[in-house]
Amino acid sequence: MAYRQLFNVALQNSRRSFASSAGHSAHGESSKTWRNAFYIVGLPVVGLVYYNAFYLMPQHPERPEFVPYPHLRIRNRPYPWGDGDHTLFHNKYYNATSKGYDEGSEDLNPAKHHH
Amino acid sequence: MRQPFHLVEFSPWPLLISFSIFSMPIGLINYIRSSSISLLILGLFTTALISFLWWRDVVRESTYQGFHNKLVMKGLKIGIMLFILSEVCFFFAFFWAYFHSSLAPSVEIGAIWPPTGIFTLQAFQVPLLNTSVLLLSGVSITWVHHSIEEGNYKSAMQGLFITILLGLYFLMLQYGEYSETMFSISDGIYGSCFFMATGFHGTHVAVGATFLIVCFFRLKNFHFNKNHHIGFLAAAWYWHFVDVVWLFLYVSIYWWGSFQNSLTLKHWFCNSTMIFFWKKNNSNFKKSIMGNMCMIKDMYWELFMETL
Amino acid sequence: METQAQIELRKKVWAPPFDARFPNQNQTRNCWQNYVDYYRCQKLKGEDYAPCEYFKKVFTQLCPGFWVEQWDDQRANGAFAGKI
Repeated sequence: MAYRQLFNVALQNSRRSFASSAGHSAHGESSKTWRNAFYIVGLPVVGLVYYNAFYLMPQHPERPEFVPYPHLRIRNRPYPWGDGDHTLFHNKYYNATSKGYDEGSEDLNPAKHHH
Repeated sequence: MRQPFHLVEFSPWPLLISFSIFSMPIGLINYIRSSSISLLILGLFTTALISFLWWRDVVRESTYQGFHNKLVMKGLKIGIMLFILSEVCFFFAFFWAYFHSSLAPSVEIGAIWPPTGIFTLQAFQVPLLNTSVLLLSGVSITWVHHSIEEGNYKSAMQGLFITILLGLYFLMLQYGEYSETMFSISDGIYGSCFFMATGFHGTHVAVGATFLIVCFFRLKNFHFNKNHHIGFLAAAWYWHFVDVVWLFLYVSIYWWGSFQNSLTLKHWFCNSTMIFFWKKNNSNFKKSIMGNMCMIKDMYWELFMETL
Repeated sequence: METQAQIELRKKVWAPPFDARFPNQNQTRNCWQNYVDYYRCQKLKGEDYAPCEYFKKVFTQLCPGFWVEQWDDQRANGAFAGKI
């Protein structure tokens, strides 16, 4: 009950504060600068970087040959999920288990499905 | 008793969250060693629940009961800064591990970095996009901050919504990257360092985004005003911190850490100009001056690689 | 002046000289580098090229025997981490 009443008082104070400031002429100066920086400079730059990442640069390279390097694919104990050899973010095409690439995964290059 | 401090009432949360935080590592070890995940889930769930209830109480003390006066606000700000400092130390440890392993790579991994057999992500593709997205979100959250201080409610709501979207977009991109890496967390020291550092950063972005979402609803319900918005301030500082950590991750792990086997700037330049301007007719490009330069450079590059 | 006996002894108990690339007490990298250099030398110059044997002399002195066995196995599997 007390919370409710206090909340209403706080709410009115807040609204008053927002409303009173809206009347001032000084309002909106520096926030406008930052908003403009966001829309005019930032967004186009991110758009260009997006275009570069997904359209200019080569996508989905071929996977390397599996080599049983002892310093890679370390399985001191099995993972607590699945067969214990596949990682949480296992990619059938790019990731090998300790035994090598999954069977029949040679044709799963994501590039072949996109284009 | 008249004094300017906020003497908090009795609360069950400190004790309860101690138990639930303790059950998280115990549950994690139990999951790894005996495949029973229940204690881990219980720990995660109760920690999330008690955090929610505790912070709900803090919001009530601040917004509805008005206990957060000027002096209390000052204390809270110092508290937030100290918390972020502890987070800096946390990430410092991962960078230490990374540079320890990469600056003098051991003979087991071929005495080079990235280790033999590790094919890194391309720093100038999605990771660069991630960098720009986080930097942009840093701009938009500053826009929100100024809007709140000017009392411009609508602009603040809009900017905060965009900031949250950018944070979620970052997480989406990172998920896409994770599912297409050519290495895993079990691929030796490289996988450990990479996934520990970027994974913890990713969870921090998720927490920061949650913090911003809470701020969004508090803003919507008029919890903030021009000179009293500690909750938002904490979220904004935290967001900037997460942003800065990413810059270090990007420069050291993604970029510097892939010098040995990444596409060089030359590759990037030739490849992108080729695809961009001469996508439809490759032979025309090869005949052009730019094309010739790229081809000649390619030849030198091959020769240079052979001397290694 | 060294006597003939001293020279004979010195040849028998030969030890790798100081290598400025590896000034620390830990000689792991020195051992490893000479192992890699030996097989790289043989690859580039042929197995009968006598100067290559110097590298072998150094790494057999510096490396623990079981490291060399491990690395030989890895080379046989094509899974040696060094660039040869």
